Amino acid sequence: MKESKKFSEIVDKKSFDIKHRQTINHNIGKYNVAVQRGLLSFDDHELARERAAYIKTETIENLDKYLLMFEENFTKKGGKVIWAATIQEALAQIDIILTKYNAKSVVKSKSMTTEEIGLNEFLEHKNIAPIETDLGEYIVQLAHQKPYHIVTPAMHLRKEDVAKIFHDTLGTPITDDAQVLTMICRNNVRQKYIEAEVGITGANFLIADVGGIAITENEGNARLTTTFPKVHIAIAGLEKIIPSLEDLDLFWSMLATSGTGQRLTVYNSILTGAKQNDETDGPEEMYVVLLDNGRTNLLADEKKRQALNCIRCGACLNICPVYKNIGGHSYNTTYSGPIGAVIAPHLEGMAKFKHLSYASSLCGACGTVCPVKIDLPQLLVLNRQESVETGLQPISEKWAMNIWQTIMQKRKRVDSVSTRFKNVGFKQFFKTSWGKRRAMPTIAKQSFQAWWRANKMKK
Amino acid sequence: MDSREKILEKIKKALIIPTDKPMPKPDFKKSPYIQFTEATCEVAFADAYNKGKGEFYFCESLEVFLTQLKHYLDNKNFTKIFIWEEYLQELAKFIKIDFQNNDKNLNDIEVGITLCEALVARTGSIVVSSKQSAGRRLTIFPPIHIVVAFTSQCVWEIKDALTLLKTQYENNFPSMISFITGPSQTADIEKTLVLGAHGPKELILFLVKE
Ligand code: SF4
Repeated sequence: MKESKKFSEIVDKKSFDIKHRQTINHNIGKYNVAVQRGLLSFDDHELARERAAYIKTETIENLDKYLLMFEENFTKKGGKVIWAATIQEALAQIDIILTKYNAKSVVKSKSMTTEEIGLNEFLEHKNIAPIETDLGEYIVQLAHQKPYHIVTPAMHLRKEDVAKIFHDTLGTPITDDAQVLTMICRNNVRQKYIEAEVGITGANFLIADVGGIAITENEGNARLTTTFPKVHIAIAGLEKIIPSLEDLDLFWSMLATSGTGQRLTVYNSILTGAKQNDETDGPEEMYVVLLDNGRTNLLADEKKRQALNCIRCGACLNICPVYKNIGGHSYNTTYSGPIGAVIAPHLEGMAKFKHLSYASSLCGACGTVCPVKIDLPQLLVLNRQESVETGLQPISEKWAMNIWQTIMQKRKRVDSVSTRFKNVGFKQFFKTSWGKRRAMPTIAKQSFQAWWRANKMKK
Repeated sequence: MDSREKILEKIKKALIIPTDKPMPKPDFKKSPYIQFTEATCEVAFADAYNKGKGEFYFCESLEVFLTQLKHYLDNKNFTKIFIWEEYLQELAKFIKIDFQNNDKNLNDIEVGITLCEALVARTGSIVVSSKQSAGRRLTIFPPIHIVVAFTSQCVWEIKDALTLLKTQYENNFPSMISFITGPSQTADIEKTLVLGAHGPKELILFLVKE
């Protein structure tokens, strides 16, 4: 089935799923309260946004320079950089490392980039157990689902749902205590950090001047993933770069406030390589995979380049009325919400995912919350434009537009048929796109022009 | 052409045309955060730290600290205390605390006691690094993490702590640095806060006046 058709069908169900709506409203309601509190630690949040936007824009404008700086500094300390143009290249390189370490299991911390490359499926195919350690990811993995949200993967599940998933897959007793459920995950995963040969993480930032990565998390699972296994592989989109270590002051604060409403996330860690000679522990090797996978196409479009500023905080998802109604899974893309609608067509194919750019009322809310000031509504419009210009809109729409144009250009043509005929034609025409839950407006018996003539005459 | 060159080539070509949406350079002098009302760094730190879920003990002197620590540990009846930093090991011996100086049976650990690199007043964060002999493990693996810090280690901003580490270590930069702000936590289930997701459930700080 065509992706857009699938989308319409899922959305049609989801939007009227009351339970789903309640769960999401509950979660996002709590998020909103936290963010309002978090913003109180800023005297001038707008200034912070301007700085973040400025730094990211300048860095992306010099992307090659900063990536080379990162590579040089990271390599100097013994780290290895892997440049991957495509998903296949990334997986092939990771495969070589897994073979080298004879990996049987891999512990993973939360990373949307590993979702993007389909790492778990790849590992399973190789008979290597991918162990998600982040609680939310752990839950959706057990439920055989995809992350629902780029920051809160299990946002759509209630306590009862989680208890049932654990009960069905792990045989644990049913409980409605989030604490008990969390401890089940903690206890089950603890030994896995020690057993796994390889730890795989994402990276929130690539730091050019010290040659390292930064990971932000609350649970401590990324810390453990980068502590016990013999090798640490970090996979990052090549746009994640920032110039200097000190920039983290601003970006950590922005990510925490917009992401979860915290002043600072619990663990903000910087990893610059493997264990050094004078250090107690740590992995023997560290790799950073720099993933392109369509990002350079976005870079080549000077109008849409700003989408690469994204720090994946999730704020645009949480404020989006469309996201809140249709939910994260409906998008069927790695990145959902407004930013997903903007970048998915470029990472996963315009023809396949252009419909997402239309699934927006262009209310503009996302643009107002983005900590790096990405003009998301504008980018959605540009995607629509691109999809039309490259002739990707459906044939029926092209036809309709042509007919519309021909008729509308001449008043006579508009008046040449009766109102009844217009109404019937109208209904027929918009049968599917109008939706079954809205009443179609009817065309007035008398056209405005006729009314005007008649009334003007009276005077 | 290998992938590295291919990607770099693509980037260079892409960047020939500048972005359609350049950002004006904003003011970089003014702090975007609220002004401190506290007079000293350590008081500001304590205020920020105490907004979180960590426990806090302020000790007027090293002697007071030693008595307090001894009291604290004896009260809790811990039997598996791990200490890997020599300075702390000396202190522990002095107040007759049994501890383990290696990583045997690390799985059974109850408490890890470590030093730290710095404290950040702005956020109430404790900065640790892999250059401490506590390593990467002792600041994340134990269910209870006790940190011993000195008032002189306090800096105002995250930025200051980062600069401090850069200048202090220069070419011997730690392979791991972590800013710890409270005990491990999660809110992945219905946004309900649960402590001790994967890291320490309890974070206890002894701040010693110098
Ligand atoms: S586009 Fe902006 S608001 Fe959305 S996830 Fe990225 S940084 Fe956050």
